[in-house]
Amino acid sequence: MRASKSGGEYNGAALYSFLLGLGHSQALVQKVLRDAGVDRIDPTRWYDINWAMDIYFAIYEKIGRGAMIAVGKKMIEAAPFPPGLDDVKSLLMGLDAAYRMNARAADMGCITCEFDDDNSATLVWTSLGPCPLNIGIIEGCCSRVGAPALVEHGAGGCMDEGALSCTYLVSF
Amino acid sequence: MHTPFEWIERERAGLTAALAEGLGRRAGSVFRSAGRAACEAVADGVIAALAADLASGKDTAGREAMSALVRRFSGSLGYADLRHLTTTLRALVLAAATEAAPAERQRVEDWLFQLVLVGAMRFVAQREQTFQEQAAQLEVRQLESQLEELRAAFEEKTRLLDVIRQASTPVAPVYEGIVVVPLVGLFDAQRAQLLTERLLHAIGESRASVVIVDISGVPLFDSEAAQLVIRTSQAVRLLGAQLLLVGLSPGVAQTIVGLGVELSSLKTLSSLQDGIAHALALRKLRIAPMASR
Repeated sequence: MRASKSGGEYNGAALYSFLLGLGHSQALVQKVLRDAGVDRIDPTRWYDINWAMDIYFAIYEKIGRGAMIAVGKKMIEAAPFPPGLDDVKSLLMGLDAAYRMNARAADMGCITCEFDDDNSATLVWTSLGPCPLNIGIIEGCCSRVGAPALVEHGAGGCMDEGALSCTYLVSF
Repeated sequence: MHTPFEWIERERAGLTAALAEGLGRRAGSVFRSAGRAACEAVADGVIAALAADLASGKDTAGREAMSALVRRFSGSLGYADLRHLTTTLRALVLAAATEAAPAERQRVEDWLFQLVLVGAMRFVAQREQTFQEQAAQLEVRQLESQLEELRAAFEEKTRLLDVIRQASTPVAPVYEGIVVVPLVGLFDAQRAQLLTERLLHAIGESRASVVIVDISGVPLFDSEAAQLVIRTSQAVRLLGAQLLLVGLSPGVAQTIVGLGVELSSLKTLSSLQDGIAHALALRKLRIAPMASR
């Protein structure tokens, strides 16, 4: 897992919507929050970025890869988006801006998106957070606009295993 | 005179180089990860197959090239890689064939279509095989885990049974030279062996001459159990001691008679009290009331 060395903040609203995406697993959420020393997440405040990432990874460890992807997908499908983001391209291109709205740190990384043609894209993430959540977020962006996608983890390593970035090859 | 598909030989080197470059360009692709030499080998194989098939009028070389490609990158090739290869190849080849006759361009399109079909089929088959292998490995792991749990449970059960046997086969000295063994619970071969071992040890240690085995706590005393007691009695006799069997209920006595078990070699008595009185008598002793002062 990659942590921020510079320290920074993470938006409570993003963490809150992720926890909402867990739906029926509220007992699990409560346990993870209690272990982290809080009763609830306040969506109006900012939290220490590494503390917030620890929450993501603690839940990932408990629910596993498949469930983490599903939560990321559900989170994006239900999230309110600004008008104009109504196709796969605009949504995937907007991911970096959305990440910057939710994280503040000098070494928070970024998300780049390059379209290979009309129906495929390559995304490179150097952001913080678990890899399966990123896959779920990409899937959610595509399914939100009715374009179910195949998201494959590219060769060249995974951040969850110590690599500097994760590359996702998206076909939709 | 016009030679069909002459353009492919003319463009072959350029097509191979351009395809190799295109394959290595996409970030995260298996081709880029494999390196430049691998990209050149893949490109050379596919373009050579195209040239061979255009010359022969068949699709054999293309099919073989695609199968070899899927095999070569087995396990790491993704759909996106396959898509990248075919779309890049199509764009390059059709661009090279712009001046070709419409029939030749159509032939190239057909060949590319076959290539996509074969690639997709091989890719799905490879994935299916991988899933099946993973599922089989998972099943084996689950079975091994279950077996390990069963083995641990069996060992724990065996240990507990041994503890129970040890605890339920006490050898109690009641007077000098007399020991009592109250048996409680099932009396089987394993327990008989344990009883014999403990009795022989106790006889040697306490110099007992009479052993009273009380079976009033044994729920089932059949011919097999009787044979086991007789064998224990024979072992006890070898050490110069005598075994008294007490606690036979009327029901057990009837069963033994009904089964035709010969117990004449054993001294049997109905109760532990009778057994102790008999043991004392054998040692020329008796229980007498204390004289009043």
